[in-house]
Amino acid sequence: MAGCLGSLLGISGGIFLVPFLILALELPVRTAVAISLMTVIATSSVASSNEVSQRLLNLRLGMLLQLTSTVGVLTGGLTAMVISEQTVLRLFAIISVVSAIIIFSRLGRRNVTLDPDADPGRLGGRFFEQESGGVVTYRVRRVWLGLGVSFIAGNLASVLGIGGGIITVPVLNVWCGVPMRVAAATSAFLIGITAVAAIPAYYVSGDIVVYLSAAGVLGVLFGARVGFWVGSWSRAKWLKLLLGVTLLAVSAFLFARL
Amino acid sequence: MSKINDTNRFETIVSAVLRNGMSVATASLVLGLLFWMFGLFSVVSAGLLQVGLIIVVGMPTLRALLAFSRFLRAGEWSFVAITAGVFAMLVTSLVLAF
Repeated sequence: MAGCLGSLLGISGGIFLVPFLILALELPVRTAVAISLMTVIATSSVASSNEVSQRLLNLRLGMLLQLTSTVGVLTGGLTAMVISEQTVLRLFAIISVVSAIIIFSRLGRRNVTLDPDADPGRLGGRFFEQESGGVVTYRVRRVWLGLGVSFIAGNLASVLGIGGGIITVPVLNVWCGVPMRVAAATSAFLIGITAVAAIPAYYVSGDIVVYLSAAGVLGVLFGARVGFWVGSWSRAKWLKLLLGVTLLAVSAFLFARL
Repeated sequence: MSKINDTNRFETIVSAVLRNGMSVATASLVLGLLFWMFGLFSVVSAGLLQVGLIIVVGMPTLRALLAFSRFLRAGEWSFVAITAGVFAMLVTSLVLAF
């Protein structure tokens, strides 16, 4: 399930997995976070392994955002000291609701243009889109916002074990002018290396339980295949709707727990 | 035109590497878990699980390396520098952990 949503939306699914592992399986928080990080990495690799998403992926933008998200991971320990986990979760719930509302309000609007002469700029790109029946172009706007968000995403990754795609994808799509599918593919790329940067700390402290991590990884690998299959025939509008609903469900869950 | 073809080849290589890598990791994890469940060859099982997880962690790193080589060959120096920065962060996270 987590893997399926992950490969569809470019989010990692850790947002469901971590609470499940802690609440249902009664694992210690750090163990649950470590397992989730492993599954985040696996989701990332599988989601990026098909050529369609390879072509959608904006490698330049992804690498640029990667820079701040890995810095975010490294400073995650500091964040955990300064603000409580509850504050983080509360902020997170609020961000989810706001993103969901904005996504719903923009369902009909597209970030792409069919104009072949449109200038994609240094970070933008073009790709063939079945839905529009041609090569579409987009420009990346407000790069600083994307950089800030991926820093926060990296931070969340190291503390909560989520990939951070759940905030990166909406922000890239809504404020930075990145089309939904490109945002998902780029985020899938981002979350992998972000989680890799977060893993050593958990490995050294012995929080990676091998057989549980293996089981988690296999679970998301299976789910991700289902996600591909669904993603190949769904429309951008449909994906946005799904992302919006997911965000609302997550925030409802978080508010219920706080 | 040649640039477009080159791009497509790069994407084919990356996705093949990721796909094969993940298949090997999956096989290794499935076998490792099966052995573990039936209490067979505990050393082999632990080894298989370790190898599987190491491959999983190695994949995105390898992918970033491929991106690095692509930026390098395309002469996009600012992105070469950015990718190098990302690697510096990964190394830092290792150093800080130990």
